[in-house]
Amino acid sequence: MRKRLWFTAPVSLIGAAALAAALAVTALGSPTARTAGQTLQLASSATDVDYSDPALAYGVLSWQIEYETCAKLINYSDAGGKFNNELSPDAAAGMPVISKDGKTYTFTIRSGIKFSDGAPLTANSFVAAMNRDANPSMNSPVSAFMSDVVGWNDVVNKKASKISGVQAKGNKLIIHLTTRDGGMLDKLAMPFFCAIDPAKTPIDPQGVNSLPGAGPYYIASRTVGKQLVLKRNPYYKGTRSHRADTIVITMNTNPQQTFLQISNGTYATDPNGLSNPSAASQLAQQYGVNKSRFFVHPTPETDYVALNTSRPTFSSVAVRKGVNYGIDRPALLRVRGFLGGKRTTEILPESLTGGVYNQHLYPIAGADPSKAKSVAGGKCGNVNLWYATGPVGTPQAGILKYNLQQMGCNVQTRAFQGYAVYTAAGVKGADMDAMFAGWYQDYADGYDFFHILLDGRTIQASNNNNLAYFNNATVNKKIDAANALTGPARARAWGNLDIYTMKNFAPWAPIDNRSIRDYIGPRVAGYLFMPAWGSLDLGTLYLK
Amino acid sequence: MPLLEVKDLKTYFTTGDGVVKAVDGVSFSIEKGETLGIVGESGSGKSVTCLTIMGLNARRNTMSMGQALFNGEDLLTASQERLREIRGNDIAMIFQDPMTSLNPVHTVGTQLVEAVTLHRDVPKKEARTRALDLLKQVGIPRAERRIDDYPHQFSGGMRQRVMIAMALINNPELLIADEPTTALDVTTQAQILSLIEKLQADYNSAVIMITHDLGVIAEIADDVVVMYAAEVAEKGPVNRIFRSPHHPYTWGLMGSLPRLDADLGRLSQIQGQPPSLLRPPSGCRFHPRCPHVMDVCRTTDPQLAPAGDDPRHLQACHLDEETKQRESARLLGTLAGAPTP
Amino acid sequence: MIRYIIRRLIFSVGMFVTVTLIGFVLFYLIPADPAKFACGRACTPEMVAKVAHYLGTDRPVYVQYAKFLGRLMPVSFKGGPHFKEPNLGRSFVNRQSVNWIVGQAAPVTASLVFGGLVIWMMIALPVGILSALRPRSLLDRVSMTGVLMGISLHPVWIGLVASWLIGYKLHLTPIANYANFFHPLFGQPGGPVQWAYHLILPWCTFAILFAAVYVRMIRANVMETMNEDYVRTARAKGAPEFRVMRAHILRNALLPVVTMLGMDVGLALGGAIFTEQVYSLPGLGYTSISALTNYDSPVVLGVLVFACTAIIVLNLLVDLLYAWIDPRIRLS
Repeated sequence: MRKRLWFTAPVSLIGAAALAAALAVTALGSPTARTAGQTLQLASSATDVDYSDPALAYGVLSWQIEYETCAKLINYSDAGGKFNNELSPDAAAGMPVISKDGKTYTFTIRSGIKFSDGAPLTANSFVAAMNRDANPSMNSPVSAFMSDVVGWNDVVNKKASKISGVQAKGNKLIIHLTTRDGGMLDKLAMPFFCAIDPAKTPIDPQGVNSLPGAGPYYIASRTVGKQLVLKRNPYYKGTRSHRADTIVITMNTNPQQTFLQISNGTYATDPNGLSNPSAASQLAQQYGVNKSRFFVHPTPETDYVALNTSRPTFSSVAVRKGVNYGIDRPALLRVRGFLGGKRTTEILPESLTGGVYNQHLYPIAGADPSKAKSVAGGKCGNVNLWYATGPVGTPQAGILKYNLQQMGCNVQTRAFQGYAVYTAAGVKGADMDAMFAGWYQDYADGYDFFHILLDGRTIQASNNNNLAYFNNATVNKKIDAANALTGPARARAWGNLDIYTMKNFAPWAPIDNRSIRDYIGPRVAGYLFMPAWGSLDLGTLYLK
Repeated sequence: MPLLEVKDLKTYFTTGDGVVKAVDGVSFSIEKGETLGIVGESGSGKSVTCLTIMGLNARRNTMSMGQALFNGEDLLTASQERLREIRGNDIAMIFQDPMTSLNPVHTVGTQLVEAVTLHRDVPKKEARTRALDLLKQVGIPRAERRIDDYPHQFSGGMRQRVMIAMALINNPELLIADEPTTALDVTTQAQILSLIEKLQADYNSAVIMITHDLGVIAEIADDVVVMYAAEVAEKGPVNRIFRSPHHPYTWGLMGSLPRLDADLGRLSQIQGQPPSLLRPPSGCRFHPRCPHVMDVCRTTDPQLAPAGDDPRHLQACHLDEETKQRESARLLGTLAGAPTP
Repeated sequence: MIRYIIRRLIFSVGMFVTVTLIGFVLFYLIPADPAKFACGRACTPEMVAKVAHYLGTDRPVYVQYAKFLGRLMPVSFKGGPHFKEPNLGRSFVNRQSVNWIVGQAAPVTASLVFGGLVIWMMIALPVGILSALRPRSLLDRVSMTGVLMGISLHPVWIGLVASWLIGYKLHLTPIANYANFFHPLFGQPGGPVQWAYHLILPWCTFAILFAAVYVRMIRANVMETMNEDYVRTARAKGAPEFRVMRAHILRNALLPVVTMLGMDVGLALGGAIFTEQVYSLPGLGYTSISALTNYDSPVVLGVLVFACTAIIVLNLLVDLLYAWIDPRIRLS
């Protein structure tokens, strides 16, 4: 997702070993007795949650919260203080039965699950959630992913009031698709499919602020812009971790002050990550990395330079490949601060490539202007480089401009304020040749990247995410092919497609996958990183 | 004893440029009910003399020496408290510019009442009655209404009357008037002067009238002190000063008076500029401008000595008696018809 | 006096309309589409158009402005004339009522500004007066140096240093955040004592700049007034020094302070932005900054409307007050 970047804290890819070590250190027995009655105070610096309504919430922080409050059909587990990055049944009794043609999914809903107000959770809770998502008054962003559910678009277009392809039969939930979709399970793990009690979550285009939840916690109250309070769901009997009794998140705090307040114990941590990135190296020196108070982990995100293939300069593959030799990846990444991310030459973050990952498709040690020039065939034209101003955007624009000029390009930069660069560049025919962009995984499948960002068939008049305006028939066919697969073969297919695309067409110059740096207070323990969400687990934290 | 006896008064101000000797050895005295005129140019020290007597100079960087005996009490060594008792009560002072001498945000009545209650423990009502009474005495029409007006609602002349009322409200023994009519037009001038005279008679106050206008002196003064450059040039009874001036400066002053009844051609001026009080001239301070200057004038500052046969008439000049009398007569010849007291 | 008030009111309405119109147009000119931002994601143009219609941004600008003014007016003519509550619209970002957003933020800013005002006057009055009474003394020189520093140092810098030193290192005050006077948020400190405790550092940070300016002004005014003739008259009447100071010098010297306070409260509302940022106080400044970065035009305009109204009203009150206490103006 792109919008998430606004709320994304930086993440660095350290590796499975470090992750395991962190888990080993932080995984503890069951300290529920010790932590009974604890209130955890958190501070979300410089930002609020976008929404607390499951149909509308679409940010890292809101999804982090919804991980605690939602019961979903299938979910990631943090039982026993360990995070399992494979999907497992949550409210469903088991993984769904999928028909041979891949078009019918049947879930059996577990019995005995209750919402925080005592209402029972049934198959209808999920039917209601999906119908609510599709409701045109809610305008939920998830509709863009669900066009292959039978009848979904009819509801969106006001032709029907309920999704015909989703039914509850007793304790079974049946979903009909128009075509096989290997990514559907990952999609269903998105918090848009949180079980809801329709009586307590009415249709409200502003989004409901508090609602009962069937997860270990529920959103007890929300004061927009100020505070959000999570309380324990007294009826929760599942295995997911829940240590503190109450979690209070104060919104929109000042980043520098929040850092000081974490240091002196007023707040346990900032769920968005280290609020003061310039302190990262000092923290690493003082506390080490992934030991006691300072943690660095990779997030499923890619920062890249989009090269507009529809305009003269970058219509040439040779020039695009030249850029991949010419950009200074280390310098660009350094702007993000100490341990801000991991350099990459691939489109997908490593976790989505099924093990087929090559960090060295192009040089990552620094810029090689002479090689870049020769690969590009000695010529480069005019480049309109667009960027968003800020502590990261402005220096990066300067670095890239220099790199391109060394290659022989004639560079003009244009600055935008924040999100406006995407809006302007998303208009087909915009006079942008290159721009800085980033994409954060919506769900754990390569289709989320390839279909939205590099499939030429999704190009529209405006609001484009395919900022390279890349349309290649071969790649499009390969996308469809990979999308038809399931299981480990599917992930590997994405990985191979990634390498294929970058080697032969280089529509992007990828820079890095961001890391998230987390800093916790002196009395805080139970830190657990969730690779699927790229953020820390709120349910495992407690005060010593 | 005299009401006020000033002996060898000196006031020095320390400034960044040096010591300014604003008053440098001034002596005079005034009896009860009398009017003393102090005349001189701007910068001659006449105002500072009176401010020193009242103790109204800024206290920092100011040195005062000599004596100012008011009913035998030396004001220069009196405590601040004692001075405050005396000011506005036994000695009152009115100032030159009536437009700025009254506080614009208090009513005239409030300021008059303040003058009373500062010195007498009386209820406000009684003070207000007294204020009303004074306003009528100084000739403010419709005083009952005007008492609650603000100063900016009065004309210049009216304001000066109010000032006079404020000064006399506590029946002071001595009224010091520092150029009270300079800022007023001629007709109002005459009215104010006659008011002062009348009230002086009613209250039996002594008046020190500071002015640069010889005409005013001629009208109301009993005695005159002529000051030049922080010193006394000449002093004595007014008719003696006018009939027989004995100092070249006084001659210059009188000679520069315009005449209605004769055509003098150009007005005669005293040549030169008043001297700096930071570095006064050596010897006689008038010598750079004196048409009769002699060598001794440049070196020795003349002391006050009797002029002729009247012991009350004193002058400080090295010229001998005959020259002075000759000059004096010559001057008066040309001034036949000059104002006579 | 009545005519004066009426004239001022007419002028104020005109100024209000002008300010809001300029703000409105400026927003319209910014090349960012709030509908696209609110829709975000992989929205098709049709979805964006729906959002635009919902937000009202697809109408021409003069229609949008007319609707904006119409919502704002306290009277409505639909179904006969009647009073209605002025409505500032809804936020583009989180669709909350702007009335509510501004209503939450305004007391915070008011707490900061008026508390700060008390503190800065408590500093400026004695320091200014004493410096005037003893010019070029040690006190005077120290206070003038202090004034220079107060004017030059940026409130953000002062705030960061102060909260780090006093809050973090010395643990004397909270580092940041606001404690509600009446209804504290869940799990947060509240009540009058906490409210004041959390505001001590912000008040001082905010007050420093204004205290510096006022010390200088009060000093100059007092020094000038001390040389006025009527002060000499008062002394000549035998008034003791403290009476001269109180009834004559200060009564005149502090008149201009009243006018300046009126103007400065307007300035203060703006300057409070820095202090609010540093101390995480959720006031109007803080709200408008995040609204601006998110292109949330209704919230920005809502703050603008509120601030404009507040400044106009305060200035009018101050002018009336001044006219009343200065007889030269009252009676002319």
